[in-house]
Order: sequence, then C-alpha cells, then structure tokens
Amino acid sequence: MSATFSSPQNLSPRQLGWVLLAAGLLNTMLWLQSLDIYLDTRWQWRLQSVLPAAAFTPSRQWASWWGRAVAVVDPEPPTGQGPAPLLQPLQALPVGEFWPTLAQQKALPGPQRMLFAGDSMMQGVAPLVMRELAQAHPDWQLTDLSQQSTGLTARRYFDWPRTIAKAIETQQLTWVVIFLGPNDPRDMFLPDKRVSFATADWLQHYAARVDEILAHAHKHQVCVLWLGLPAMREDRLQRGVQVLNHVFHDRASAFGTDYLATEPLIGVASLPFQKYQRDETGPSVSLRTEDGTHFTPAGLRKITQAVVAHIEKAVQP
Amino acid sequence: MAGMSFVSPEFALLCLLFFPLYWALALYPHAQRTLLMLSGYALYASWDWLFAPLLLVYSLAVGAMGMWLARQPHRRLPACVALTLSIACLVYFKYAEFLRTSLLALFDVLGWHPLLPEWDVVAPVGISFLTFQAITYLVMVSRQPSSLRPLPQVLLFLCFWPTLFAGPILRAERFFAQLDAGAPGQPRETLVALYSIVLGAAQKLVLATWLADTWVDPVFKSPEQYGGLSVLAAMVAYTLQIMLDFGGYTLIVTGLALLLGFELPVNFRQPYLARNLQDFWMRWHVSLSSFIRDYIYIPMGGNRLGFARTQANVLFGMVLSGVWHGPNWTFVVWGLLHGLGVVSVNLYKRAAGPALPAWLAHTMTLLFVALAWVFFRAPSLEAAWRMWQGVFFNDRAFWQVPPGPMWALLALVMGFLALSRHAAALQADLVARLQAWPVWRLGVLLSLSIGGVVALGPSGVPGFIYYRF
Repeated sequence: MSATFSSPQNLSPRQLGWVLLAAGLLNTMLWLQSLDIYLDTRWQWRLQSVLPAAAFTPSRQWASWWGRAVAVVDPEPPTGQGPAPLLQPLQALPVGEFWPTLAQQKALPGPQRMLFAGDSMMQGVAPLVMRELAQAHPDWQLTDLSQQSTGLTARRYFDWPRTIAKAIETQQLTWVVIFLGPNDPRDMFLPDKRVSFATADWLQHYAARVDEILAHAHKHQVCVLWLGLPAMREDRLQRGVQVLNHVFHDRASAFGTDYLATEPLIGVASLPFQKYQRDETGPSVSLRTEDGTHFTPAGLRKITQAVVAHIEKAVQP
Repeated sequence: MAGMSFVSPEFALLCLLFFPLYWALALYPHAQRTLLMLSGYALYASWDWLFAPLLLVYSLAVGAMGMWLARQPHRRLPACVALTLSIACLVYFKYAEFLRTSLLALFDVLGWHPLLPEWDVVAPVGISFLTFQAITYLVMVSRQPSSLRPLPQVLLFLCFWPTLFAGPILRAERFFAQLDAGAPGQPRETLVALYSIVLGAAQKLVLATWLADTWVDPVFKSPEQYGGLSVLAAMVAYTLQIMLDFGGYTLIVTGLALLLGFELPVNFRQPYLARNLQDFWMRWHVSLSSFIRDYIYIPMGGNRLGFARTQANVLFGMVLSGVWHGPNWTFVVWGLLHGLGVVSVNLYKRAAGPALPAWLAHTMTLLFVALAWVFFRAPSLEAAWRMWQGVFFNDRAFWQVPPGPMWALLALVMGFLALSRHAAALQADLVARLQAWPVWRLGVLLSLSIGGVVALGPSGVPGFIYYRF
C-alpha cells in the first residue's frame, strides 16, 4: 500500500486537499441542479449559462431519487395565458408622486378566510395584522405562508402563483394579501431566453405572473389586496420599486382588485430614501431597519394599521 | 444585506480553491498571511463593500493606538482613552439609535420634547466581536508594552475571518502566541477539523433549521394562535435551537481555523448539563463570559470588595453581557434575569442552604435558562410577555394540535441531553477510529456526510443567530 493510502494520524495538506476536492466535486455533481437554483436566486448567476445540459443529468436523477424533483426552468403560466400587455406603458412618475391606493372590492359577508403571502417584508407585517384581525374577528381563519427570499421573478425557487392557487382551492379563501418585491428587480430566465429587468418584455412576463394570481383569485371570487412597495435605501431596489409598483397597480386596475400604497406611509420611491419620519407633534421616528429594506416596529405599525383599516372597510356591508 | 455565509455552497466551493493555495504557501509565511488577510477583507466586503474600508480604518486606528500606548511611561490614562475610543465606535454604530429612542421615551415621560439628532448608520457585521477582540489587544499592550505588534500583524488579527463575524472572541495573546509558535499555516488535527465542520453543519443546517421552521418561528410569530403546550414546546425548541445554531457555528469555525493552522478558544462545555447558573456561565459562550470576567468584573473589584459589592459587580457584568448582544430592552432584561439568578445562587450558598439533588438542580437551571431565552428570541418585551402569557393564561385548549410532531421534539431533546454527557468521549473515540481508516474511505465518508447534510438541510442558506451581534 502506497504512502498516500496508509492509515493517517493526521492528513497531510496534499491528502486533505484531495479528500476535500473529491468530496466537493462529487457533491457538486450530485446537487448541481439545486446549486444552479441557489446561485440564480442568491447571486443572479446561472450555471446553465456556462455548463452543458448533460452536466445536470446526474443531479436531476439524484434529486428525483431523493423525491426532490427540482424545476429546470421557471414554470410557464397556464396554457393560453401569454405575456400580459400593461394598461399603461411604464413611465417615470413626477418626483413626489406615487401610484395611489385602489379600493375596488367588497368582501362577501360572514367570517373571512385570509391568506398572507410574500417575502420577509410580509413576515414582519403578517403577524401584526393577524393579531389585530383575530382580536376583532375571532371567527376568521388567518394563515401566513410568507417566506423570505421569495418573489415572482425566480419562480423555480419558489412558485407563488401555484402556492396561492393551491391555497385558494384547499382553504376556500376569501382574501389574499400580498406583499413582496425586493427580491424581484432582476433579470428573468425563461426557457428560451434571458429577459433583462424593466424592459418591455420583462414587464409583460412579470405582469403575467401577477395576472396568474389575480385571475385565479377572480375565478374563485377571492378578494386580493396587493401592497405596494415603499422607498428603499439601495439604488437598485429604489429603481425597482417604481417598476414593480407600476405593474402591481396596473394589474389591480385591470382585474378590479385592491392596491394599497405604502409609499405615503413609509417613503415615496421617487424621492430620496429617508429612514426617519417626523410626526406633526412628536419627534422623528425611525421606520426602517439598517438595511433600508425592512421595517422597524414603528414602520410595521404604520403598515399594519393601514392594512387592517383597508380590510375592515372592505368587509363592511 | 446578506454576505457569504460559512454554510453557503459558494463558500464551500471557494474553500476548495483557497485551502490548497493557502497550504501551498506554507513555506512563504508573508505571502500566506497576506492571502489570509485578503481573504478576510474579501469575506467582510461580501456583506457590504463599505465594510472592508471601515475594517481597515478601524484596524489601523487600533494598531496606532497600540503604538501610542506602548510609548507612554504611565499607561493607565492613555489606556482608558484608547479603550473609550474603541468602545465609542461600537456605541456609534450599534447603540446610538437605541440610546436616542430610550432618551426620547424618558423625556416624553418627563414632559420634555427635545430634538435629538437622527442616526442613519449601518453597523458592520460582527462589530461587537471585533470591538472585544480589539480591546484584548489594547489591554495586552497597555499591560506589557513589549507585546506590541507590527501593524500588519494587528491587521491580520482583526480580520482573521473564522472569528470575524460571530466569535468565539479570540484574545490577542492567544492569537499572537500561535503566530509566534512557528508555522501556523499548516492544517492541524485534520480529522478533528473535518469532524467539527460536518457535525457543526449538521447541527445548524439540519437540526436547528428544523426546530426554527417547525416550532420556533411560527409560534414566536403568533403565540395567540397556539395552545399552551405548543407555546411551551416552542420555548423548549428555541432552547435547543440556539444551542445547536451557535454551537454548530462554533464547531464550523473551529474546524476552519484548524485547517488554517490556528486553534480557537473553547466556547461551549455542554451548558445544558449545568447544575446552577454560575456553572451555566462557565459552560455557555465561554469566550464572552470569560472576557466579561477578566476585562470588566475583575477590574471592577471582582469578589475582593465584600459580598454586597461582589453581587453588584455580578449584576453589572450580566446586564452588560445582555446589552452587548443588541440594542434592545429584551437583551437588557435577559441579562438582568441571569444576573439576578446568579446573585440568588450566591445568596443561597451564603445562607448555607442544603445542597439540592443533582437532578433537581439540573432541571431548575435548565428551566430558568429556557424561560429567560424567551427574552433573547422575542423582538420586544411585549412579544416576550405574550409568549409567557401563551403558556400560563391561554384561551385556547392547552393540548391544541401543536405545529409539529411532539414525539420528534421530545426525542431530539432527550437525545441531545443524553449525548451531551458523552460528547467529548464520543468525539475522541470516533476520531481515534477514523485515524485507522485509509484516506479513500475517509473521502467516501466525508462525501456521504456532506451529501446527507445537503439532502436534509433547507433549500436556501439560513442565517446564524449570532451573526446579528
């Protein structure tokens, strides 16, 4: 037996390097498809763009063996539902302006069954809204499915249209409240092409994903309240907010659903980001956490009050 | 804001390139240390590119203060100035907004409404750990000027990435002693290192994530939606989650440091086997508790100034330990609770109370620690109170269906406590067995272990609890 394969008291750097390399490469090969989805979601970079399709075969077989079949590409919208033309073309709003709240729905009378969907922003808002509503309406059923790092762009990582559609059917929902977006200002990878963020093509495909949710809700007579995004600290997100709010507002107008503008509460996206807001009477209050995306308890309180007030108004006969 | 985590795939893949290169440079210590330093800055910049220049400026300032301190004939006052400056940096980044809102609330009660400046700064990740490590260097130099280090070594110490983000708090003496001892750039105790990394990843990615997703997060978010048993189970689950999360993290960085050729201080000694709170603090986050003991409690007089003053020092040290974790009153209350607990133990001992049976002392300690953790996890005092209310004053049926399989939680808790007693022996035994294995078999085992962790772990990369400190 050669020295390399002798019983080691302590592996030499060379042996250790080979062991790590072998274990690393083997696992990379077996989990390549999952790694691709992860890198796509986390760093917006796809292995599929640099590796041949055959490289993914072992990982697909391995994943299905584990019962973890993973989507190779973003799922397509249902048959017949192509890219959605927007009612209004994307335009930069004048400084200080924002898309206003739309309150177009009236809920059916009786106990409501409500779903909260979205990303880490909704993870902050949902528990507070649920607490307020549960106190006022103990007979309502409230479910929070919000999950961090999710959105509508990287659909193969987390498929909100399908998740919401399934919840609508299994829980016989009457309301869906949605708050997401900071993970979405990025290019979209479709089966045949990469679509750059904020182009006309991107807007149509993103709107189609919004439409998929709204159309399913409409079909089942479910009210939808879509929360618009407030200003963000990061420039990329700040620009993204204006694009996404345009789509959310446009599609809510088209489907007759509700849109709640958080910009007047937290910060207008066409103005410079501000962490603090001064009340008329009291001192200035910080509404945003350090990252400039999420909310402090004071910020969450403002959004919660607005959401609860909006829903309460919509359920009044 | 999220940087490169030690349990992320991209970090693992970069390690495959980094470590062989690092070891290959063992014959060229300067180049090797430069690589280590650059990798520290690159990792720090992955969170926010601005953090890297901030770290550099801070490290240069600490290095300069060290040089200034070493030149002073009388170093007591200069040392105070240097420590105040380094702590001021922590306060500026981490506590200014907390102080502002607390003062405004206080002034509001007094009917006074002054305008305090708004504070919009982003605290660099791990700044609490960084500050404490910087303090160990400044104190070392003030006590022994001959221990002054060249600036590049100070920079290396303060950007040493295994401890940069969430500890363990590595003292300057310990780091430089290893640097001086020879060539630390070769991997040490490689089997222990690999065992630690795999075990730590399994604890964090599989067990702690399951506890968080299934039990802790849903219940802490909306305790009023669950029965008393579920709320109690969530408290138990968090008690285990934080141990597996932070303990797992410590194992991972300990293993990584060994691969770099450095040994980190022990941070956990099976804390949930403690039989009183003093014992607990000699086992939990040891690098922090020993820092507070050596750099705060003892300089304040320790136990040398009478019983009453000793208890005041204990209380101060524990509250400070709480505040160190974050700018939130929940951490203040958590520290205060532990301080009062330790003082109570001291009073009981002074009153010569009868020794409790071991099982009772163990249970009482664990119960106290678990109940106090609620303040550590809850986002506000109100939320913590709602959790406690959820156990004792709950409108829902106590036995209401819990959010996860209770048997699995119980099995995990019992299994963890049982294994804790034998963890050191099990590790020694396993490593001894592995030493007898041929290299190819080790490779297969490592591959299977990593594959198992990936298969059972979450789809994304979860954050570490202690990253926010």
